[in-house]
Amino acid sequence: MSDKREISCFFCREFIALYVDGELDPRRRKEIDQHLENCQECGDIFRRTEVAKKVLGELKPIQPSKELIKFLQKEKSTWTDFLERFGWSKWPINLRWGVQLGSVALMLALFVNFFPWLKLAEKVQNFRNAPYQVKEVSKVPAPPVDVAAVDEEMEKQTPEEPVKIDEAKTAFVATTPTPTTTSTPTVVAAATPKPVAPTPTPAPKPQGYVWRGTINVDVLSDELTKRVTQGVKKLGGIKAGKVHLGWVQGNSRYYHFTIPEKNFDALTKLFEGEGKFKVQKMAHPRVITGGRMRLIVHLKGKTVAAPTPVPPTTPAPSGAPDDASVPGGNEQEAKDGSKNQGP
Amino acid sequence: MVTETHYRALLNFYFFLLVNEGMTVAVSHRAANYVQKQLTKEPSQKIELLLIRTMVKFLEKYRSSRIHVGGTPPKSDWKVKNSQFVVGWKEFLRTCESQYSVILVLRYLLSYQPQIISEALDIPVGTVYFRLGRGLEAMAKSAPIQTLARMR
Repeated sequence: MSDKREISCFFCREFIALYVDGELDPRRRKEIDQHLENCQECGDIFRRTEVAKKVLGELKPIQPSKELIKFLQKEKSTWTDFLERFGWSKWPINLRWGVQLGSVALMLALFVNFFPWLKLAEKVQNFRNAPYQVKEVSKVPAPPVDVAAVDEEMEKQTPEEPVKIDEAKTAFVATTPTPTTTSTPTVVAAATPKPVAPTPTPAPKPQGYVWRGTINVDVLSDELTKRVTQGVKKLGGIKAGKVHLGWVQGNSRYYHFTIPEKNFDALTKLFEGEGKFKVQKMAHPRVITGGRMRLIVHLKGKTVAAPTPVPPTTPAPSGAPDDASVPGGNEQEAKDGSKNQGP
Repeated sequence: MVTETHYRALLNFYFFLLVNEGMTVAVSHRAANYVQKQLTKEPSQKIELLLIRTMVKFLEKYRSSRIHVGGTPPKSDWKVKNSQFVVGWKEFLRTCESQYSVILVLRYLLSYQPQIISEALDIPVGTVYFRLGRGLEAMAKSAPIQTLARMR
């Protein structure tokens, strides 16, 4: 049955190459011959294809000369060809070495002459006058600080915002304080780099710190305030601002003082004994020397117990007595005694 | 080892597909060097397969580029028989797809068997015959080829 079925034109053309090459098996060849007899279009294509193949046969392969093949067999490059043109390989060895050394010397001379040395020098200079320099405070000698002058300067400046202790940001609670002369890297701003001759850079300003903290208690009473005040004084605390220790500020009491660094642990224990104490170390332009540290602590209570009227002997500042807004507060003043002393 | 026969095959392949003697010499030189390096790396490779593979690879690479081989090749004394057919072939190449013309040259001018071509190019034998058929059909429809056939 399958022998009698005639193949299609598409199927016939699929075998065109095999048919022309004579590589079809006899049965398939016979089928295609039968189709070509009946289909004029396919017959025409097959005839023309055979003609095309004969034309291909006329395209005889070229016969390149042996010289050309030898030429191809050599390892050739533009450089070797250039050298061969001058008979480089036949030159005496001394002359070849001399030419090579001379070439290297010439290249070096050109390099030295035309290299942009000035630009390189400018870049090096700019690199040395980098806008930021990281230095360790501990390695920088602390210059003597005129505390009163600093306070005056602070007074002229815009007062800081009231102290806000974000509990979420208080990273640590009652940790051991880092002394002011720690090796904490500090970024010290320098002048904008200018392509000028290097000038002796002034000694970087030492960085100061202040510890801001809160003691949260349930009931805020006068007894508690006095107890805390006495505890601070026992540990060597000296008021650092205008107002006295335990200054009434709404539902909180304000403590701005300095203590010896060695007593900080004891102070922490004291405050933790009274309530929930949180403290945070913050950078501040005022530098406290002499192994002391400055603290601003707010004693806050949810409720205030039985306020006892206190006769105001010193007019309290209307705003928040922050360290920035309270000029003149320093350990020197504190030693002076009752000057600026609150009730 | 690339022998003289292989050089001849390379030169013929590129000559009939690039129809440019300078380019033929340049590309043949590079292809031969490549084959030689590959053979040095893996001596067990069949050189015929490697040669066909390299031919096609370098043809695609350098078809439209102008490259130069160091040195001036000897004066061309290639014996091109029936140069009018070469002109007709060049006309045909402009209209024919590359994949068909490559197979036509490999099969009918370099006389490689379809099995070897299929193995080298990693395509089925049926595809080789298909491309041969399409290439021959394209030649059959090509006016320059038919003109040459009538001249003959």
